[in-house]
Amino acid sequence: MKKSTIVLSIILLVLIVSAGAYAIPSIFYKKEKIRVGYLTGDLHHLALFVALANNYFAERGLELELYEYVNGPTLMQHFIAGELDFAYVGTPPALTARARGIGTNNTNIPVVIGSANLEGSALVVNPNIIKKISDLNNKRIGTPGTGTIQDVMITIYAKANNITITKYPGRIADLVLQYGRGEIDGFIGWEPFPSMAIHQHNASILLTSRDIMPNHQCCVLVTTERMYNTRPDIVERVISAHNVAIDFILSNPSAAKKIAVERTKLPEPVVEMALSRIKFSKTVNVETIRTFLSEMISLGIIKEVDRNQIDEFIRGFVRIPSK
Amino acid sequence: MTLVNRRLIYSLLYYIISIATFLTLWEILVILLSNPYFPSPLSIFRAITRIAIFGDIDGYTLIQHIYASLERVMIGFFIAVITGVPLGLLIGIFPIVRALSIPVIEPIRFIPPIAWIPLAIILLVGMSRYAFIIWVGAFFPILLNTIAGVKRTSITLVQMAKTFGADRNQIIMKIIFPSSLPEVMTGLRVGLGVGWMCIVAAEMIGGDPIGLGRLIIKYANLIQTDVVVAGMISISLIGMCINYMILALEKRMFKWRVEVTT
Amino acid sequence: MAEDEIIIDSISKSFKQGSQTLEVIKEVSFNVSRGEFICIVGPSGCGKTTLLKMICGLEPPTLGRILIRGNPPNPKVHKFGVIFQEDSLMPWRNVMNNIKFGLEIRGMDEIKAKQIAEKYIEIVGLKGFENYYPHQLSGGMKKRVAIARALAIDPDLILMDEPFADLDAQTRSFMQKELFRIWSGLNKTIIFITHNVEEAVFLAQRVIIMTRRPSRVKAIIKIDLPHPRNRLSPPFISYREKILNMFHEEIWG
Repeated sequence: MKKSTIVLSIILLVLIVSAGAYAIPSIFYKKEKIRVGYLTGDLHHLALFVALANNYFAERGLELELYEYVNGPTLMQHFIAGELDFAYVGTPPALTARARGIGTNNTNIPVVIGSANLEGSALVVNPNIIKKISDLNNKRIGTPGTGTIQDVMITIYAKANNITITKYPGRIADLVLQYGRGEIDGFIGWEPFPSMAIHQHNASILLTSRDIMPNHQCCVLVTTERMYNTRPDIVERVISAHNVAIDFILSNPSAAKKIAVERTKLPEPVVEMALSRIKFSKTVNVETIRTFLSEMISLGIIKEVDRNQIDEFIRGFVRIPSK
Repeated sequence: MTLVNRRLIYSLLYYIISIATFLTLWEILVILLSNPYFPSPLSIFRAITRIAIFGDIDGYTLIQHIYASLERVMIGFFIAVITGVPLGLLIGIFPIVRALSIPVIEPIRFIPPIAWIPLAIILLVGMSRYAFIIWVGAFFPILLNTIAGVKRTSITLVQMAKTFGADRNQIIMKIIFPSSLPEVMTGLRVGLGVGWMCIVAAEMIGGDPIGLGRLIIKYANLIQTDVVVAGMISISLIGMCINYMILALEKRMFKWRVEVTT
Repeated sequence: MAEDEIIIDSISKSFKQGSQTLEVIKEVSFNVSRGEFICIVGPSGCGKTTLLKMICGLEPPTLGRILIRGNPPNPKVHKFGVIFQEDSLMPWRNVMNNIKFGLEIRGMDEIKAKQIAEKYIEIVGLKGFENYYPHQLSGGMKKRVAIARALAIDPDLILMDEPFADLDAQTRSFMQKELFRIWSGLNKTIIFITHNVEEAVFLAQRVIIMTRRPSRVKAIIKIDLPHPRNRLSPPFISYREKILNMFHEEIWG
């Protein structure tokens, strides 16, 4: 055999193997359609946008039907009605939904199977009116809706600091608008909306969600109890695509930023500022979820869970399958 | 026992039977469905008392929610009355006003009040936003009924007034307006009803922390459906009260109207 | 019956209906003296109501002229008491306030208007019904309210358009007597339109018979009978038959 033939054969072999390796997942996996919910313009869900842009789901034989909601509680209402298989959503709405459905015959209650991000929300205010924390007293503060993580966090904070605020719940995009017109003195919301208020209306940050609770679990990837129990194969594939996407964000921040800019159609500086406040992490911060649950019980948002049941509840709530 | 008394007792009895049967069927449905989100009458009753006495998750009581919604409706409704009735009279009386305004008014009429909400959020602030939505909802029933009332004015009465030497203003004030008043009142009643429905939709979109629509959304967000239905029942009861109050007023005002008295 | 209160000088009236012109009244002339009771009879659709509307100024004649005390009819100048064929009471006003209406339009003060209204309520025999609303009254009572309202303004001329047409025979006969009683007491000029010949003979000093459309004056008959007239007396019957024959000529051609 000639040397060149051997070289050619090796090249051919490498090509075939690599093509096969690339093709195998989509051949191996049976094609599945899944319904995935996420929130309006929420950069916390960047992993979802990256996974879509980079075909991580398609490579795993998953076809996504996407559903957008104005906030986490609204998403969870549809989720527990069985309209979704997976969702990117804030921890408190998922906690509420699970607490309300636990011990019933509803199999659409959420199970956490991954972490989307830590931190990533901020309270932006009019710097002429509110200069320090105590200025918050009796001010009109927008939130993306009762029961959202931002709403829960500002309530926890106000209570801990003995501040009375008047909450103005509204759709996140409207909050920026209302802030711009002076209808509210500030708002707490998910990124990139606080950054938008800073760029468009010269708002300034009074508090980030990190200041309220460092390293707090923010958005989680959830699936239904039924999907978790009956289709572990699909759950596995979703987690895999999600984790690859988080890795991509962490190792290719500029490429991830480009995807975020494309997705939100916002100017790059806004996206950059927004992303700087979001901590992307594959690891779920269970301890802060426990804190959320405990605080929500104190606030009367969750009534179905007893204090001595917290550990058991959290064990059922966060169930990341081990490979 | 007089006949009237007996009739009253019977209608009261039927009333009680009707409500009791409904509640029982509801309770049975709760048991049959065993859906954790389908609230029972009892849990709703508890929710109403709880919100009425202790307030909601943000500390606002039921009365505060009701007051906020009512205030918004009344302001929007008042503007609808002072625009709808005069314009209706003008359109009904002067063909030129009709010819000039109907091409504009007619297409706008077919835009549902709720479709205006997103625009209102962007263009208007606070109370003016609610007032506008209520106005859109209440204006057209008031306007159309006023026009219909003017059209129903008897020509004989107008001629009668003319033979007594009445001028145009006297004819409008003493014949056309009082003659169309029953229709105007119907318009007000329908308009207020529509306004009351619109306020709930407008409040659901957000902006303020109080209002019955907001109360419903708050608790839907927390998946506490007993409070959601409690809010719905409050809306219904107040809507009914408003309706019956105006009906009673109509009855008093239009004793002369055979349709009302019989 | 000296002076001519009303001069109707060859008036014509036509309406445009699309491209066609409908001629309703053609060259009608007659005069009415002050205090006279005139009845106009004619077949239905002959334009009697149109004639009445022209006399009280609601519609102008197409040709010719009408003079009332030397001036064209104008409700702001002359005082007309018009009693319409249809119900013309305002259902939202009670008897008292319906009767006060004409006085109100003329700007009379409340107290005086009330006094006058009370007087006419008594004349038409409705005492005790002041606070009743029209829907609580019988047909005859409603007509009496309309008559009282017309009388209350002290009219120069009373115009009545088949006022008793909708009433039952008994009420009608009663109302005719009442009207005569009121007229003879107040001595007002009355033009009374009817298609009931007996009614005309019973009430009128002169009966004007109209032809079919386009209407002209067919004849003017003076009823030379003393009051109270007896409907069964031979002269009454002969007047009635004479007018009825003319009337039937118009209906059957």
